[in-house]
Amino acid sequence: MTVQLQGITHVFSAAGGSVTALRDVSARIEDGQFVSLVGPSGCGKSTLLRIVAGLITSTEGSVTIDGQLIHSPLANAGFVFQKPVLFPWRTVLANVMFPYEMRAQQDRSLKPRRKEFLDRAHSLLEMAGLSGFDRAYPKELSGGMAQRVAICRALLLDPEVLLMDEPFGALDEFTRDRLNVELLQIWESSRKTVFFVTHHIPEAVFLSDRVLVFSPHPGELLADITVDLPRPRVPAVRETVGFLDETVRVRRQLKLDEADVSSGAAGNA
Amino acid sequence: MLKKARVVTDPLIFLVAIVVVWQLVTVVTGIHSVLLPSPLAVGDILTTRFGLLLSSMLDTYRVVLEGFAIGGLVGLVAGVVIGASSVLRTAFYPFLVSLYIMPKAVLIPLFLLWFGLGEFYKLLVIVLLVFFPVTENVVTGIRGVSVEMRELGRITPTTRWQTFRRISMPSMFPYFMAGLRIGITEAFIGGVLAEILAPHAGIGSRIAESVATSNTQFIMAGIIVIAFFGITTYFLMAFIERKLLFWYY
Repeated sequence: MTVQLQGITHVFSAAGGSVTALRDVSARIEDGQFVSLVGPSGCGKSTLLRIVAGLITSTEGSVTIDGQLIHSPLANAGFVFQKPVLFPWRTVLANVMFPYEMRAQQDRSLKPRRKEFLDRAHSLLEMAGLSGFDRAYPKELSGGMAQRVAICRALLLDPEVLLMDEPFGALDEFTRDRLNVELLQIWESSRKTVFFVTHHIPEAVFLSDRVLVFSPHPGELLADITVDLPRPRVPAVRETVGFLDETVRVRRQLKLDEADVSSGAAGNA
Repeated sequence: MLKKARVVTDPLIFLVAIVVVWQLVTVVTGIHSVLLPSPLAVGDILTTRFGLLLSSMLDTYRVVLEGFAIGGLVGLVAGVVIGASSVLRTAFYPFLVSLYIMPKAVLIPLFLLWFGLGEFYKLLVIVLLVFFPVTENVVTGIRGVSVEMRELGRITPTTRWQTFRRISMPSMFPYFMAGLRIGITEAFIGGVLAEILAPHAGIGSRIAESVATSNTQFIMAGIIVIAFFGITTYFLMAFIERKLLFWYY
């Protein structure tokens, strides 16, 4: 679905005064696009993601999805957090089935379709390389496995938009690279609209059709970069000159290299 | 397997050591048995007065378990209500805390005045001691549900009841169980204390009588019986807790 962000400004008011997290952000994300939101900590990218999800209402501006104004949490979105946020008392399969179970209790017409969603949960787990872990509990999983379960859960109800908030930020570099490839494979098969928050530039370039670059304090849209790399993307893409060029383009927009040492370090934090 | 066995054997070795040293001290110093009876003398009471000790202890134990059950339930309900509503939390909290920190020796005369000597006032003392740690833990558990988990609930979306039943309740369950574990120790303290302060029935009353007759052997035998019941109950609860919370530990 097409997402239109119009003049989004968000101000957090706290005890010590107010902080402008986002200022006048406008962008149009086309149906099926993979879009990364990139910027240093404090640029409001996670806040923007929550505004798109309808979890936060922006101070000014609007989000329209397929022409419809959003003010409550999106009914048809999957959300993946930085942490897996699995329910430790549920098995892997029961965690993936959670959205269906909640919906089926609210909407009785979904009850007879349990088998269908169970099959879908199994095939998602298989796609994520987790077949055989159905009955495992979250404490038995590694960080990477737990995050894959969280992605399966987000995809169970076949959402039209997938919102991901630094989903691989807590993982080691190798796991991150592998999960990037797996995520792309999943995405290629369904082509959902994806909002992907990260501060890892190569990750953003490797995954995205477009990279939206933000500045910190306040978060402003610095650049909207279309990544000119062919799809489907294989890991070897990361070793091409074209890939390097794209990361340099994003990096230049962030002006990290020009900043003095102290603020440069803060920007990378 | 070896490690598991040591959980039992190590404390037993320590116990034997204490008893041996205790016996030596009484023999070597020739201390008067009213001040410190020998372990053998206490053991003698434990065997000859076993029937009385056991039946008194069972009287106490029954009230302790009843009070624990009621206190646990009241504590759970109070915790859920207070944990879910910040208005009620603000309104009730100071009263709950003052009720709990009030020395029970102060409340007992009042309870006796209102309800008379008997099981009911004992029950009341126990409930009062048990419910607070349970409430405190349940509130902590409910309020400890992470921001992300709440956001997940909103995005799913879950109804208010589903959020409560499927997210908040299981999240606080480990805290509830920990509260019960503290609660059971409080229940023993409350039950025996109530009996000693106002002797009527139960092991505490027997001990109070023995204090009056300087029957130190009997007091010590009573202490051993209480300790045995207390330890057994506590570890049984800890065992059940581990089984129920296999996903947590």
